[in-house]
Amino acid sequence: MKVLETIDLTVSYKKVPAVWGVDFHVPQGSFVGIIGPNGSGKSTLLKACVGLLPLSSGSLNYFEGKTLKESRKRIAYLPQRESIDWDFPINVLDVVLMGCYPKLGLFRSPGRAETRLADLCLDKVGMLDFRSRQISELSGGQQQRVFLARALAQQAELYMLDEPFSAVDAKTEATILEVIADLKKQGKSIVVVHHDLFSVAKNTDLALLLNTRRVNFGPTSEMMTKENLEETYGGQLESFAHVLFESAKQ
Amino acid sequence: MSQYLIEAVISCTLLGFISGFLGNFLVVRKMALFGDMIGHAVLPGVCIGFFLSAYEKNIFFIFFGALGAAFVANALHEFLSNKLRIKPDASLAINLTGFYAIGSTMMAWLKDSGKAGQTGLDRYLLGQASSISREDLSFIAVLTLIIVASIFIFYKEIKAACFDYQFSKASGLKPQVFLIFLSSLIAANVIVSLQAVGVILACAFLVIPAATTVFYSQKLLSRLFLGALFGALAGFAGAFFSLSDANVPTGPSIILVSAFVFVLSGIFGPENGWFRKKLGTWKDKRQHQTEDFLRCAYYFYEKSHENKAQLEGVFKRSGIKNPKLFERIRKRLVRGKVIKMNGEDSVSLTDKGLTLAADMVRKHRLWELYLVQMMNFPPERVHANAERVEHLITDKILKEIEDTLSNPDVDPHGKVIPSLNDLRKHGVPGY
Repeated sequence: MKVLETIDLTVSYKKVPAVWGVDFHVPQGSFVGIIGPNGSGKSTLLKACVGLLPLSSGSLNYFEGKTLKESRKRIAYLPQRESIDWDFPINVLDVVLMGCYPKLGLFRSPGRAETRLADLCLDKVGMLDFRSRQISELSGGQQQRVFLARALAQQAELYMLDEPFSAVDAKTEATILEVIADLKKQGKSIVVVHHDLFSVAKNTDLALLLNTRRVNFGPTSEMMTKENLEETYGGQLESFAHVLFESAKQ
Repeated sequence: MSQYLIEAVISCTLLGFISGFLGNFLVVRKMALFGDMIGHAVLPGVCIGFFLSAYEKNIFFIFFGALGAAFVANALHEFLSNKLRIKPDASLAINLTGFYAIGSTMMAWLKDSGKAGQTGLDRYLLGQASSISREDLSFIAVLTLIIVASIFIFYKEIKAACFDYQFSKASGLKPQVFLIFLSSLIAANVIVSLQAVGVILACAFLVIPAATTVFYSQKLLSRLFLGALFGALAGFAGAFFSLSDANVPTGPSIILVSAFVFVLSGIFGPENGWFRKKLGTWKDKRQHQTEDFLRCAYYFYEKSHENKAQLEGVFKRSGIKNPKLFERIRKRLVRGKVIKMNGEDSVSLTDKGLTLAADMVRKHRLWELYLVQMMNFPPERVHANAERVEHLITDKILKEIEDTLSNPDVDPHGKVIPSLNDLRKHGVPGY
């Protein structure tokens, strides 16, 4: 089953397309990496998929024929860490509990069951000891793990993670990869926007190479060719692409 | 006090309660200036409402006139900042001053018509509690109930929208709806508080009590109630002062009270208050000086194998410059039974003192060794750093260092690192 399929997706800022005519899909239980240089529209694509940006044209098809609106509770979106004010007066547990809000609906507050779930999710990312800490006291990697715990608390089927690996410590990166492997085992699907080509080459099942337009999409092992990478990262970066390609091969 | 004055004081207290409560959302969203814009932008609406109600000061006409003006200002601000790409702070400033200018011009016209003077339209500029009628009070009370109830009913959605808009939107929590709702509540709150604080200071009524809570709590819910408390206090005291001296307008009086509470909280508040921070530094400094004293006394004990040190020597070695300060520390240590005096100028460590001193020396020497062995510092350069770090090593860190260096006995300078066993070997009493 395809949990998400985009058809000819175009997103524009002020009539200039940031993502142009992109087709890709996410099969159930797969780990898909979106890669491309800065400004290639990776995060824009993800935001458009979860309805944060309007589509200029094209369409989204969730869970074989459902609309985004019908599927919201089945999708967990993890925004970039920088989009948040980390001085907000809130502690770790309350952030993770927010993951339960969509399923609670209006007028219901999180109770014991939700707290148990939140604790479980915090434990999975190794942050249970920090549950009553203020979020302003956390390091960047810890913040990212709390965000991931919130996404887990959403108990979704499709996880859309925007740059979860950006500027995190080695432990956090390992934890995130572990959690993703665990989700895959449960038959859940994961889409990750990622700037680190090596990590994508090593860990993902499918890769979407993006440079405003789709450069290529398919099994990651087949995507890591010199031609693909050169086209994605641009002609002026030919030698860089070569280095990347050589390293990725190893 | 007359019934009528009591009603005015109650009104201001309620208004303070609700402003301090709602103001928190402006503060956490870094939108204090938005409150200021709404405060100033309602003035033309007030004038129009006044005009439409045929120069009667009818609260409903004025309320809806002002609400209309607030919406127009907000729409204009959105248009300027989103469509025309004017930076939000500039756009806020343009709207704020522009609407205020329109409002004051309208006010001048209304005054010229000769009917505004008696009904006190100009009281809307700086506020005058005595102009609040019984009708106004019931209106304020109803609005207070509506605001508090709706914030609690939609608390989790509003909190999520304020904290993480993108997450809320992607999860279908409809943050756009709740933020507009919140802004409308804030606008309504500003409008009803105009008679108390006036357009010029309306924003301060929202922001100062809410900002004060930063010095007390890191929890949004506690901040809401603390803000309400500080606001109510300012409203009550401010109205009281202003009513007892007719020359003082209520707005400045209320704002002065809340500013006073803010300053006091900034100094004495438990979270990040200036005094708390200073107190922490003082305590640390005192602790460090005590520890330095003990370490030096221990040094003489170690050298002569006799638990006796000349005060003169300890003073010179301790690095404490001021003799009076040194004397104070000595007295404190004697009182704490950490040292005892042998006559005028010599001290001995008590059992308690010996343990504390040995602990300091152990930390000092272990840290020196750690710097040399693990970080390749030359042995002659580690002492000064250890002098400072020894005070900061917790038991947990000490354990780590001991394990990493596998419990060494000698420091880089060949001196024995005291351990409990050492103390026993040397025949230190009590071990």
